[in-house]
Amino acid sequence: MPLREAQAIVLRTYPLKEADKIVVFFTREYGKCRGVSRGARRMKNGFGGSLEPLSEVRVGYFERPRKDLVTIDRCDLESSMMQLAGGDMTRVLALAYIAEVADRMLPEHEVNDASYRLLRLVLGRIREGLPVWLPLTYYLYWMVRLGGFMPSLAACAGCGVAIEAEQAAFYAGDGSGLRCRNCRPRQGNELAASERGLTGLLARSLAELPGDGWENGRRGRELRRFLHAAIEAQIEAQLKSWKLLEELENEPGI
Amino acid sequence: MDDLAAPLTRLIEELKRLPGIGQKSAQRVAFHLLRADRERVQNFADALLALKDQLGFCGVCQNITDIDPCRYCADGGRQRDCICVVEEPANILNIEKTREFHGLYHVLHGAIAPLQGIGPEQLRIRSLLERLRAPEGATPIREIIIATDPDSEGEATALYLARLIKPLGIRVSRIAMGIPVGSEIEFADEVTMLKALEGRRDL
Ligand SMILES: [Zn+2]
Repeated sequence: MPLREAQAIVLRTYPLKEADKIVVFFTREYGKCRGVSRGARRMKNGFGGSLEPLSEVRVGYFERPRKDLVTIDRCDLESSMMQLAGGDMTRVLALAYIAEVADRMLPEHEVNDASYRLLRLVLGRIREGLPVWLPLTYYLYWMVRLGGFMPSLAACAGCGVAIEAEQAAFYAGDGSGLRCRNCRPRQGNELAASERGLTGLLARSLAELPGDGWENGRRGRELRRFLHAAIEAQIEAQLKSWKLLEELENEPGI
Repeated sequence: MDDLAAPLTRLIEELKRLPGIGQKSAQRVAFHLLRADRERVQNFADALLALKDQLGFCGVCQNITDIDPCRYCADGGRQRDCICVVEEPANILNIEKTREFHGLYHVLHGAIAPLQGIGPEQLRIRSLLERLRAPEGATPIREIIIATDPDSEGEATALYLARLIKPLGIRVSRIAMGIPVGSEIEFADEVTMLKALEGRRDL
């Protein structure tokens, strides 16, 4: 059983037995893995704050023959999410949602360098103080594109007619794509032209994008809902942290 | 398992659902109970049922109790202007062991956990806010001490509560986080060290 070392981002943890944790972590070199960290819930443990979601760590672990769960030997914290959140509820919930999207979309043991770099980039920009709504929207946009299921924004998924740049468009929650006014689903949401236009911006590098205009959740809200619906349709499951984020977005002053 | 009598299998299956109990421990407990005399087993079964039948929540602090209000809320000798907020009833015991806190408690029964879809409305937060609006003549609350776990869920809960309570003009404090007693600074990671610095005090 050789010790493997990897650069990783912790996605989530579950309690296991009396004092252990199961840790889901995403490594650059080996993809997403699950491991057991023994004694991680005890007061004095060698893991400190390294196992909190979205911590960037250097992890050492042993693979066990014919077992899915690896044994985590050590985990050194390089950058913490508890600092990243910076005492701000919006950031806390946005980060939880990002962690859940990553965990649910990434298959285990599959190297995915693009997704790894994307997640690091997004976390880095949040750490630099960019209003969280921009990196959040950027993350969703690119996870959908990297997943290969971005619905067409240029043509109606119902009748195939071109959706012009200034026209309103609509979609249902089932991931069946964007539709024109004539094919509008009965229980559908609107994706305004201005929100579709944001995709041109998001296609650029996040490092170039200024945070102006993203201070509150208004810009990109419809686009995030659209991308969220596409992700839920793709993974055929609900993302639990979305509801809290939506509730917060609807609070006055946010 | 197939060669065990049905009542034994049933008990072993039930025991295995308890935290920290696997097949071997469950078998050991089941055979132990089988050998014990009937009266002892009866006492054990009664104790289990009493847990469900006789315990409820304190109408004031939401602690688990057999009398409402609970012993802490009913104790006239306690400081009534300070409430310590904890995640679970068991956390009260840890704080009581210090003999340093003489105020009241409030039990949330969990923490805000976005990844599990647990939001503020699933916690006992409304009853806490009601306590802060003290009726005429009652001691007004001066301080809320938030003693949720020092992890991201406990921090999210603390943030959320502070946002609700501070505008009411009540002092909101958070228990210190940082280096555990008896450990060494050399092994502290950046977030533990940072929290320790933030929570420093004058000597
Ligand atoms: Zn009580």
